[in-house]
Amino acid sequence: MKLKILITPVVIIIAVIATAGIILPKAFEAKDVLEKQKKSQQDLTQASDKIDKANRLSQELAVNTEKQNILLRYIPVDKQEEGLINNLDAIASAEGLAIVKLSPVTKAASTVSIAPENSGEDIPGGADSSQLSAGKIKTTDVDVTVIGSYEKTKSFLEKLKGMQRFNEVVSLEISKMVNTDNPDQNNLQTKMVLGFGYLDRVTVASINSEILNSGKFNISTIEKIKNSAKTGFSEINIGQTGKTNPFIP
Amino acid sequence: MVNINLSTTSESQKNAFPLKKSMIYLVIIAVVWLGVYGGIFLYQGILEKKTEMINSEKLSKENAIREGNNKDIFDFQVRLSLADSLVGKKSDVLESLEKIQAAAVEGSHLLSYEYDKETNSLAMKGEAVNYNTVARQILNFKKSEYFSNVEVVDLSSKDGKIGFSIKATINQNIK
Repeated sequence: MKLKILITPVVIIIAVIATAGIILPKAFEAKDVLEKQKKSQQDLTQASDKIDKANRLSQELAVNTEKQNILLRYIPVDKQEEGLINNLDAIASAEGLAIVKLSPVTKAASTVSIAPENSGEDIPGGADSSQLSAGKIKTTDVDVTVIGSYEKTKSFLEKLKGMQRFNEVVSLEISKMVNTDNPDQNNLQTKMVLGFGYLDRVTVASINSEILNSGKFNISTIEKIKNSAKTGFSEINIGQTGKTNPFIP
Repeated sequence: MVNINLSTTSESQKNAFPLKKSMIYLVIIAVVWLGVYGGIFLYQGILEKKTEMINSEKLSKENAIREGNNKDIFDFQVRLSLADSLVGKKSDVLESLEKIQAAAVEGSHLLSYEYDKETNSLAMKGEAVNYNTVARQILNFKKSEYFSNVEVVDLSSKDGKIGFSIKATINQNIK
């Protein structure tokens, strides 16, 4: 008789306990999996979106080869000392300065501080820190000594500042030359060490790069280079090649 | 009047029915419970498989972004960002020469000028017609906001002219 009375509540209690102890945790587990799936789906959609953007950016690059060239001239992939020798000679000659020394300095590559005036701020243009650390700009130094008037020397320095390749004056010494034959001649000897920037090809590609989120290059930088770097950077013309005896001038 | 029981079923048979009913409920609850559990189990399995497929597709797409021509995009972008922070940077040398020109005092001229980017400092040697001119020249450098820590290193007299040597730092705060 007692069993008959208890059986229904016992069944209900067992059902409740079984539901609370087994079904509910399983249901929560399934809910977590569903949320993970939703997140993965979102990531997949983002990845697809990034692929589309990357394709568009690739096409943009393929079309804008001239802009690429401007940028690669401003920050080349390697030192390109030959181009520096050629162009420094051309600028000094154009200014009427006599070159006493023009020699690349062999040293361990140094790096340029990117934004010393804005330390702590983000680098404009959207490159993330991993990319920048992967591609720190290096400099190759060139020792230059020229002789000429103050005006010509200053004009040379201005032309250097406006060069289509990034450079900075590492050190500079100007000294007055004493000419006993012609005391009125105010020639100056200028010794300088110039650092020219270059950057190894970036091989680290970050999926989280800002460029893949924005899908746009900040092409205005190219215009800035065009506007501020007006000193031509001429290509070297090798000319005729081939000699029967390379020891004969 | 005498009551006569006409029922043909026994009392024990009557009481057995609720027990049977309870058993049926129990079975129904068990079936429903197992059905729900099985359903959730199957659904979770399907979800996990689908998530796995999505993740693998996502991974292959991400790898596709990192490879091939896309490296050119990152290379271009990094160069662009670096160039943006470098282009149009002021030249300390040119600016300091302009400031020295502006601060030059009549009767005094420079014999040498040295600039060091690392220490952001200038060292100048010059000549003046007399001590008063040297003093005016030093004061004029000190008055310029562009120079800081203007320091006289040496003074010497030769052939009726006063040679001077000055050190200064380019004031970063007003750049």
